[in-house]
Amino acid sequence: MALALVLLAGAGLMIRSLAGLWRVDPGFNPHNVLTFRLALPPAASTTPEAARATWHQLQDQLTAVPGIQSASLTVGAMPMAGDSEMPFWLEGQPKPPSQAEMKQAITYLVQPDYLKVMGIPLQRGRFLSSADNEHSPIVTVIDERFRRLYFGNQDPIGRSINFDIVNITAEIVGVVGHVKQWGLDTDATSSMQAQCYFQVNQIPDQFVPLLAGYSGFMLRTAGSPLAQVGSIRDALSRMNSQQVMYNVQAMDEIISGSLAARRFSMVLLGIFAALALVMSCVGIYGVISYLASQRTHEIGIRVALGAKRRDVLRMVLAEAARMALLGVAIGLVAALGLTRLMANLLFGVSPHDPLTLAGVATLLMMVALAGCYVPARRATKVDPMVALRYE
Amino acid sequence: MDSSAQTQPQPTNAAGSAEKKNGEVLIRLDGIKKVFVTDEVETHALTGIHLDIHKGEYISIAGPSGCGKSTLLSILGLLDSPTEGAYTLNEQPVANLSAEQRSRIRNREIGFIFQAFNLIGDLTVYENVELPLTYRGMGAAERKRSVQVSLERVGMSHRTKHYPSQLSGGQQQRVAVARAIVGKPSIMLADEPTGNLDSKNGEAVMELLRDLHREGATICMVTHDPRYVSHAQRTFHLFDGRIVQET
Ligand SMILES: Nc1ncnc2c1ncn2[C@@H]1O[C@H](COP(=O)(O)OP(=O)(O)OP(=O)(O)O)[C@@H](O)[C@H]1O
Ligand SMILES: [Mg+2]
Repeated sequence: MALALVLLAGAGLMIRSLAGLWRVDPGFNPHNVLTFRLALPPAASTTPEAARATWHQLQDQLTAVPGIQSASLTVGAMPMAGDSEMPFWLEGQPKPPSQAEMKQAITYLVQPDYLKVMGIPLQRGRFLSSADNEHSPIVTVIDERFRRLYFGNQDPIGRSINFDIVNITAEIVGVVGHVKQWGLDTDATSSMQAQCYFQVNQIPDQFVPLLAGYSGFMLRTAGSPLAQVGSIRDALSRMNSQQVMYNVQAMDEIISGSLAARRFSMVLLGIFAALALVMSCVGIYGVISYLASQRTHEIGIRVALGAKRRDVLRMVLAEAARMALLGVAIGLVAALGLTRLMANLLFGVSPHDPLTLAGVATLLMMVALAGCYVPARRATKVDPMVALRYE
Repeated sequence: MDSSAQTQPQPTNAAGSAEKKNGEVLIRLDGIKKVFVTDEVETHALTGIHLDIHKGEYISIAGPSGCGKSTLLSILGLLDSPTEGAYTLNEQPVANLSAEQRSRIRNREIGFIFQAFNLIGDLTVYENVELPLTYRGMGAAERKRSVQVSLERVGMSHRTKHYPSQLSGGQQQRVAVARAIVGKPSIMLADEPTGNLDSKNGEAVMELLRDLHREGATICMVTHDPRYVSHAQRTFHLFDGRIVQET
C-alpha cells in the first residue's frame, strides 16, 4: 500500500509536470511548422552573390508550393534544435579585453518572413525586411529578454551592438518576443538568454560560403506539415536536382522530443505504480479475505443477533478502510520524503503538491476498497448455523 | 396451511397439544423437514415435525445427541430454513419473509442463548450486551439504560468493562442471557444453556429463564438435563428427527 502510494505520487507528479510543460508557451507557434536542413550543390555557394541568389530563389520557390504559407531560411540557431552564439558588447561601452569576458547572444540568421513562419510577436520597431540587404547598413532585431537584460528601461531602438567574431556593428531596429531556445522546461534557468536576429543577406561576404553549408528552412504550412514533404521535395529538385533536404521534422515533434526523457520516467513510474496498485488491490483482498474468514464465527453471532447484510458489509469494509488508511498514511509520509528526490524531474509542481497527493491517496483508497469488496460480500453470506455449529 | 386465517385464540389444529394452554398460537410448524446435503450424503435431521407453541408457553426439547434438537431450534430462530413444510410465526408464513425481515425478527422478537455462550471475544461485556440494540438503531442513552438494567438483572453490572475471556463460564453465560433479554424479545430460544455450567451456575441461569417465563416470555429450551425438563410445561422428545413423545 505504502509503496504503491509513493510510486503513484511519483507518477502523478510527472503527469502534472508534463501537463504543465505542454501548457508552457514556447514563445512561438509550433503547430504546422516544418523544418528541414538543406544540402546545396557546391556551385550555389562559390560566391556570396550566388549564395544570396540561391537563398532568394529558394524562398520564392518554397512559398510558391501550394499549402506553404510562408518560408524562411535559417542559418545559425534553431529553436530547440541547434544553437549558435556570438559574443558582443554594446556600442558606447568599452570593448572587453577578451571574448571570454563579453556577453553572448543566441544568433538567428533568417529571412524577413521568419517572424510570420514562427508566429513570434513583434513588440517594438520593425522586423528585418528585404530592404535590409548587403548594400544597406547592418541591422538587428533583439528579443525581449535581451532588451531587459542590457537596456533595462531604456529604449533599445536606434542603439547599436558590436559583434566580435564577424566584426560588425548592427543597429537595433526592433524587439520581438523571447523564444524558449533551450526547451520548455530548462530555458528559464539557462544562463544564455539574450537573442538577436539578422537578415541572411547581411552576412558579411567572407562568411557566406561558410554558413551556406548550414542552411535550414522553416515553413508554415496550411495543414499537417509532414503531408507537405513530398511536394516540397519535388519543388526543390525541380529547381536543382542536387539540392537535398534532410532532417525533416515537424516543430511539434521537436518539442515533444524535448520532453521525451521526462515522458520516459513518467511512463516507467506509471507502470510501476500500476503494478503496485494491482498488488495492493490483491494484497488487501487477501488480507481482508483472511480476516473475514477468521471472523466467521463472530459474524455468525452478529447475524443471529439481527445484523443485516449491510451491517456486516459495513463492518468488514470499515476494517479494510482502517487498514487502507494506515497504509495511505505511511505512504504519504514516505512520499513526502521521497518525491523530494525527483524535484529536478518536475516542472511547475512542488514535490509535495497537495492536489497530487490527495488524488493519489483517494485513488488508492478506492482501489483498496474495491479489493475488499468481494471478501466483504462473501462475509455477508456467512450462514449463522454453520458459524455457530463448531462449538 | 388451511387455517392460517383463523383469528380465534383457540387453536383447532389437530397437531396441537391435548392439554392446550389458553392463548394464541405463536409458533406453528407443519410438516417441517430438514435435509442437510454434504458431499453427496443426505442427513435427514428433521422429518415431519408438527407442533404448536402458544404465547407465553415454556416448552423443552429433549432427545439424544444428533437427533435434531439444535436444528429444530435454529429453524424456530429463523437462523435456518426448513427443506420442506410450513413455519408460521405470529400468523406470518415465515417462508415469505425477506432476509431483511428475518434479521429484524431475530433482532426484536427472539433472544438466543447458546451452550457455548457465543460472546464476541473482541468486545467487552457491555458491548456484547449492547449488540442487539445497536442493530436496532436505538439511541445511545436508551441503549445504555437497557444494557445496565439487563446486566443488573443477571448480576453482572460490576463487570461491564471486562472481556469474555476474563470471566468464568457461569459469568459468561449470564452475560449471554443479559444479551438475549436486553431487547425484551417475546421468544427465548435456549440451546442447552446449562450444558457447559456447573450445577450452581446452571441453576442460576434456569432461574432467570423461569423469571422471564413468569413475565410472559415464550421459552423454548433444549436440554439433556432431567432436572430442568420439569421446569417446562411441555416437553417434546425427539428421536432421529421425529417427535416421538410429548409430555
Ligand atoms: N450444517 C449441517 N450440515 C450437515 N449436517 C448437519 C448440519 N447441521 C446438523 N447436521 C446434522 O443433522 C443432525 C442433527 O443435528 P443437531 O445439531 O440438530 O443435533 P442435536 O440434537 O442438537 O445434537 P446435540 O445434542 O449433540 O447438540 C446431525 O446428524 C448432524 O450431523
Ligand atoms: Mg445441539
